[in-house]
Parts: sequence; C-alpha cells; structure tokens
Amino acid sequence: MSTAARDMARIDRLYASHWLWLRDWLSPQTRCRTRAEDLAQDTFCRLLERSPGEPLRDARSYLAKVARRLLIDDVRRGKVERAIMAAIAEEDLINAVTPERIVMATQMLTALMRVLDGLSQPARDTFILRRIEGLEQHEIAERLGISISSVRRYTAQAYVQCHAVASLD
Amino acid sequence: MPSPALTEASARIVAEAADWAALLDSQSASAAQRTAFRQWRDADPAHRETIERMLAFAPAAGVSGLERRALDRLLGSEPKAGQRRRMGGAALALLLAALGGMAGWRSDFVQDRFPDYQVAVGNLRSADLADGSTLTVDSGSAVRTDVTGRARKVRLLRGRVLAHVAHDPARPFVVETPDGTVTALGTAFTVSREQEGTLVEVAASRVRACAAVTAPCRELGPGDRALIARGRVSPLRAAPAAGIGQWASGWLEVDDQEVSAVIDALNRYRTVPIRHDAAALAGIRVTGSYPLADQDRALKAIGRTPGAEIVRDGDGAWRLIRRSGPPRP
Repeated sequence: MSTAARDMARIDRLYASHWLWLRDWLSPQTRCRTRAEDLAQDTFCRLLERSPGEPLRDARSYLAKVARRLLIDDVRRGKVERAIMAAIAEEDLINAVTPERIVMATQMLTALMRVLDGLSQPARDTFILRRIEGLEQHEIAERLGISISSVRRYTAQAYVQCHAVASLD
Repeated sequence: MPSPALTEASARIVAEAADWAALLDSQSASAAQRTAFRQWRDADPAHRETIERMLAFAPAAGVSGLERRALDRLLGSEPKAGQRRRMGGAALALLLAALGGMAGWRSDFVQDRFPDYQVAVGNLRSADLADGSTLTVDSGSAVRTDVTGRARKVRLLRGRVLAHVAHDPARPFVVETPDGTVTALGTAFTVSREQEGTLVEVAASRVRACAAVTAPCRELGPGDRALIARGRVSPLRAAPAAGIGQWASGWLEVDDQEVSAVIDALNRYRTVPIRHDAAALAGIRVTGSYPLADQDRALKAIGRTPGAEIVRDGDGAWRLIRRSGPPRP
C-alpha cells in the first residue's frame, strides 16, 4: 500500500471511531452544535491536507490539539469580524464598503492577529509599534526601555512568525 | 499538529531572512551590509522567496482605513505611539531598494489574494468608488482600491480597467501595476495588463505614465497609447480617443480591422477561446458591433465575415478558418 493510501486508511479509521467524540468534546466550547460539527469536520479536513506522517499514539489528544487550534482561529476570526462591523457602523461606512472589502479586511486582520498571538509580549509590542504605529527602531528602544539590538531581535522573531503564518494556508 | 515539516535547512533560511529583514528594517544598515544582503539574497532562489514572502506579509505602510479602525478595537489598550503616523518613508524605501526592481509595486502576498473587485470571465462590472470616481472592471480582472487616503490608489492585479476619475487635485489618482504607475491628470483612461507589459490608453484629458524601476515618465493625451514594460514607457500608435474604453459599454465596436485582432478582443470574454491562425487569416477585415455579453451572437456575426468560416474542432471549441471556396452568396 502506498504512503498516501495508508494515510487515507488511517484517517478513515480515526474518523469512524472518533468523530462523534470530537463533536461532543467541541459542543460545550462552541455553545452551538452545528458549529461544533463544522469544526469537527474541519479537523479531519486538516488531517487530510497535512497527514501527520506517522501512526498516532494518542489519537484523541492529537485530534483535540488540532481542533483546539481551529477553535482558537474561529474565535479570533469572530472577534475580527465584530471589530470590523463595529468600525463600519461607527463610521457610517455601510454603503461605502463592498462585501469583498470586508472579506479582505477580515482575512488580513485575522492573519495579523495570528502573527501577534504567536509572539512573546515584548516581540508583540515591538511589532505593533514598528509595523502598525510606524515608529523607527531607535524610537521603539526608547519607548520600551530596551536596547536597539533587542528591538532587532524581537523584530526578527516577528518576521519568522510572519513567514510561518504566510506559509500556513 | 502536523506543522509543515520544516527541514533544518529551510528553518535556517527563515532565521537568516528574519535577521536580514530586521536589519534592513532600520535606517542604520550600512552600504556594506546592504551589499552583503544582496549577495545572500542572490545566492539561492529559496533565500529570495523566503524573504519576499516574509516582507510581503507584514503590513507595509502602517495599517490604515477600515483595517486600522477595526484593529484599534482589537488591540484595545496595547501600546500606541503618542502621535500616529505612517511608517518612516526612508526605512520603507530602503527595504524596497534592497529587494531591487520592486519600487512602486510591493508584492502583497496576503492582501492581493482578496481583491476588492474580482470579475469572472465573460462579465463586466462597474464600481463607484468612495471618492466619486468610477471604475469599469473588465472580464477576468481583479483590482484592489484605496481611495480613502492621501493618494487614491487602484492596484490592477490582472486584466483591464477603465477609470473615470473624479476631480480632486489634492489627491492624485494612481493605477499601479508591477510595470509602473499611471497617474490621472484629468479624467478617463484604461490600463490593461498584457503579456508584453502594461498598456495605457487615454480617452480624455491627460495622464502621466511612469515605469516602475528607473521612473522615466511620459505624459499622454487623448488618443495616446503607450506600453510600460521593462523599465520604459514606449509610445504606441495613437487611436481615435472616442474608441478608447469602448469595451466598457459592453460592445466591441470594430471599424475595418483584421479579423484575428477582433477574435483576440472577443476571447478576453470567453472561457473557451475561439481558435484562429492570424497568419492564415491575414487580410480578412471586418466592420461591426459585437455584444460582449452575448458571445453566441458575436460568434455568429464573425462567422458571416466574407472569406472566413467558423468550424467546430473535435473537442467542441470553435475555430475561425479561411474559407477555401468562393464566398457563399
């Protein structure tokens, strides 16, 4: 049997034996059964896209790990969407903004939040001040009371995270 | 989580790229460091790919507009600069210069995947922008627009647009492609991404066309056409101004043109192109009005061209050929 076929067979077995469990595990966390079903489904989709490559020792904790990450992404996206809607409502932009624009902003900010959430607090602060507020490195050093070389180290960490998120989907 | 299996080598490249990006991100990179960076970048295509992806992902010139307002809500009490401003132009210019050949157009990995307007093949769409300008976005085209800032920007990701620009001398209206920029000094013009480069055609008033790299610009008037490619703006044969952007009306108006050029124009709107051999059809000329949205009618009309004939290939696609016998009555 080819590796791909073996992977498929393994995921098939995982699905048969754990789908219901995963859905029930997700249900209380989403407070919505349909949402839990969607996420459980997405978890298996993710497995199909990126097979772990080796047999799973503890299938349930592995599935829960994947599902938890999707859940976090889902919550993050929801927060972003609400913030965008609130901004639109407040600025009275509802007629000026196309649906495509909203989708774009959601994607862009979700990706940005994904980068920020993967950073340590000082790296996060550095990234926000540099990339969003537009301060120069020496100004950031002054503001955060750290050395220029630290600013540069945190900036590099942020770039590594940018690359990781850009390579995700 | 099965993260994309980063080999040790590519993890090292990512780390190196991040160090370079962080260094170039400051104004203090020396000439020697920049030279060293270029050597590193050119040493391996993976180096370039990695750092471009990394830089393209980070928000370029600060975050503005709708995203900015939403972000302020998301970040709440996180650090803010006392005085809000755009990212230092010097540092950004340095980054772009370091990458080379990308001035003006920054590959924008994430955002370009989500155009504001995206038009399927066979359709046309007219969009009213917030500043009062209108854009007609052609079949198979995609654009991003930002007319809220100090400059009004349209980023043509693919295809063709016709811009009718609302007058606002304080805020230039610019259409960008990787080849260069087209700045409206007046009202109506089209910009089109072609294989050879970016084609500019002026319907009314004047525009300034600039190439991306060395930025020699050329002013164009009504009826003028120019190709921006490989760092140059080259004038092409002028056309009647009234015909420029005509496609935006949904009709292709043809006055005594080579039939193969007309088919090329119609094919822009077809998912399955009409096949033809320009050399074999040379000399056959047509005049007529063809509806872009009704391809069957356009096809029938083309098929009635004296000296030409529409046939169907084995796979079902249409082909226009030269009729061998005498023209049918």
